[in-house]
Amino acid sequence: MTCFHSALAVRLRVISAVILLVGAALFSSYGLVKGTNSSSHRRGSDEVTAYEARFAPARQVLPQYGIVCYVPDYTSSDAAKKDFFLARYALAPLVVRNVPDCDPLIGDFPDGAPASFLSGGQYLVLRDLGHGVLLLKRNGP
Amino acid sequence: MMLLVISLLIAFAMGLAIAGILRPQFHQLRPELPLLAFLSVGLGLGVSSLWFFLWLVIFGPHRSAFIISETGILAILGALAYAHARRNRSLLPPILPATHARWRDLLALAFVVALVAAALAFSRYSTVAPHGSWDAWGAWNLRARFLYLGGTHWRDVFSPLGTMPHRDYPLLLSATVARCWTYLESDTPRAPIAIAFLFTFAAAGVLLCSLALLRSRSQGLIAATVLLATPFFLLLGSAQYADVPLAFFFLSTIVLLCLHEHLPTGNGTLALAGAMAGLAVWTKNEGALFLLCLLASHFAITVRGRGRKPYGRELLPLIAGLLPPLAMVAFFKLHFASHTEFVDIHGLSHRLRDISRYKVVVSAIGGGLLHFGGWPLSIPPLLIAYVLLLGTQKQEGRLAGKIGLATLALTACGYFFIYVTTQFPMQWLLLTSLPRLCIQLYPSAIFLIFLLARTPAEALG
Repeated sequence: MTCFHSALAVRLRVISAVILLVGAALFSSYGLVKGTNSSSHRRGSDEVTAYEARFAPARQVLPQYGIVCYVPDYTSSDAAKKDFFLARYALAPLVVRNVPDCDPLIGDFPDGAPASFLSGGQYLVLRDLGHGVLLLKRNGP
Repeated sequence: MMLLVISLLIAFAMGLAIAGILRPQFHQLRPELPLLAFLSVGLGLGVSSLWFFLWLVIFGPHRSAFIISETGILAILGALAYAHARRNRSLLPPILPATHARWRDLLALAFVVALVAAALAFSRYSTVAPHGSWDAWGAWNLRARFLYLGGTHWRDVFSPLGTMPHRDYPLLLSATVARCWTYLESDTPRAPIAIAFLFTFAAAGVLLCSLALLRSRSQGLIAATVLLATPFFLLLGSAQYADVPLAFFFLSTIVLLCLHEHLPTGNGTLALAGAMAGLAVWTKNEGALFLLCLLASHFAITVRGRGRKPYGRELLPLIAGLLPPLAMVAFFKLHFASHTEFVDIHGLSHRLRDISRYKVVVSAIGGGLLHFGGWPLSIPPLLIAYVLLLGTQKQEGRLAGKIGLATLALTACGYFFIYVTTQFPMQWLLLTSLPRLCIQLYPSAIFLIFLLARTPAEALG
C-alpha cells in the first residue's frame, strides 16, 4: 500500500512538472502568436524601405563610391541619430561622414528644411531631391 | 528566389560534407543525420562566409568565378565525405533511450504547436521589419552592403572617415549575407531573413536532436519546445542580429563536446567542436571570450578528471578545428580592424574599485533574469522547479557537462566584468545589450539543464 502511494506520488510529481513546463511554454507560444498578430496590424510599411525610397533620387545623382557628408548634426537628438543611421544604410556603399567638411553634402530633413538652415548662407542648395532630401555644397572654402 | 535557395543549399552541403568527414561515429549514419544536418546549417554558412571573405581579399568581387570556386570546393568535400562514409562502419547500433509512446506523442504534439507558433511569429516579425531591427541595418547588413555593392571599393567599410559602427566586429554574418547577395545579384532583404531563419530554427534542431541522441526523445522535445516558445529568442532571431548565430555556435560547441564524451572514438567530433568555437569568434567579439572560457574549463576539468595525457590528446583536435576560423579572425583583426571600442584601459582600475557599479550590474542582471525571454511566467524559477521535481542524473555528460557549465558560468562572469569596467554609460549598455547577451547563452543553458536532468521516464523509474 505504501509502495503504491509512493509510486503514485512520484507519478503525480513527474506529470505535474512536465505539464507545468510544457503548459507554460505553450501558453507563451499562444501569447507570441497573439502579440505578433496585433503588432502586424499596428505597424505600416517599414521605415527602412521608406527611407530607401526617399533616398533613391539621391543615389542617382551621387557618385557610386567615395565619401559624402551629412547634415544636420546627428547627435542633436535620438530621432536625428536614427535618421542618420537610416540615411547611411540607404546610401551604402557610399561612406557617409557626419561632419560637414566635404562636398557634396546630403541634407536630410524628413520634416522639411528649417528656414534658418536655408537662410544661414553656410550651404548652397544644388538640388532639391524631394521628401526633405537636399543635395548641398559648402559656401566658401 | 531559386538562386537564394541554391546559395544556401551549397553552403549547407559544404557544412554537411565537412561534418560527414569529421562526424561523431557512434551510430549508423541514419539516426545521426538530423543532428548532422542541423549542425551543418551553421557550419556551412560559417565556412562559406570564411571563403567569401578570403576570395574578396585575394581575387576581389568576381561573381561567376566565386560561384565556380565554391562548387569546386563542394565537389572535393563531397567526394571526401563519400569515401569516408564507405570506409568507416558504424561502431554501435543505434540505442535510443526508450520513451513511453503516449508521452512521446503528447510531447511531439506540443513541440509541433510551438514550432508552428514560432514560425508564424518569425514570419510576421520579418514582414513588419524585412530589414531587421536597428543593429541589423545599422551594422550587420550595412557592412554586407559594402561587401556586396562596394565592388572593388569594398574596403571602404573599414574607412575611418565615415562613422561605421563596430569596425572591429568579425564578419561571419555580414559576409554570409553579402555572399547570398552575390549569388542573387541583388541586395534583397530576403537573404538576411532566410539566414536569420536558418540560424534560429537550426539552434532548436540541434537542441532537439542532440538531447534525443544523448538522453531521450522526450527530453529533446521538451527542451526544443521551451526554446521555441521563448518570444525574445524569436524576436532577436528575426531582428537579423548576430546574437542568435552566436548562440547557435556556443550550443553546437558544447553539444559536440558532450557527443565526444558519449563515445570517444576518433577525434573528428572534437575537431568539429573546435571549428564551431572558432566560428563563434568569427561571429562576434563575445565569441573570443567564450573560447577563452572554454579552453580554461576544458583544461581544468579534463586534467583533474582524466589526467594530463588525455587532456593533450583532446586538445590537439580541438585546436586543429579551431585554427582555420581563428587564423581568419587574426588576419581580419590585423589588417582591417585592430582597434576595438569596447576595451579602454583609461580609468579601468577606478571603475573596478567602484562598488556602486557592481550593485547596478547585479541589480540589472537579477531583474533581467526574472523577466528574461518574454514568457508570461518567469523562465528561471520554472526550470529550477522542473529540475527539482524530476531530479538529476550522473551518467551522461559527466565531464563534458561540467565543462559546458563552467564555460557558460565563466563567460557570464566575463560579461559581468565587461559591464562593470565599460567606459560607456553603464545603464544604457545594460539596457541595450543585457537581454541579448542572455540569449547568447540561453540555448546552451537549456541543453545543459536537460542533459543533466532526469527524463520523465527515468524519473518514473
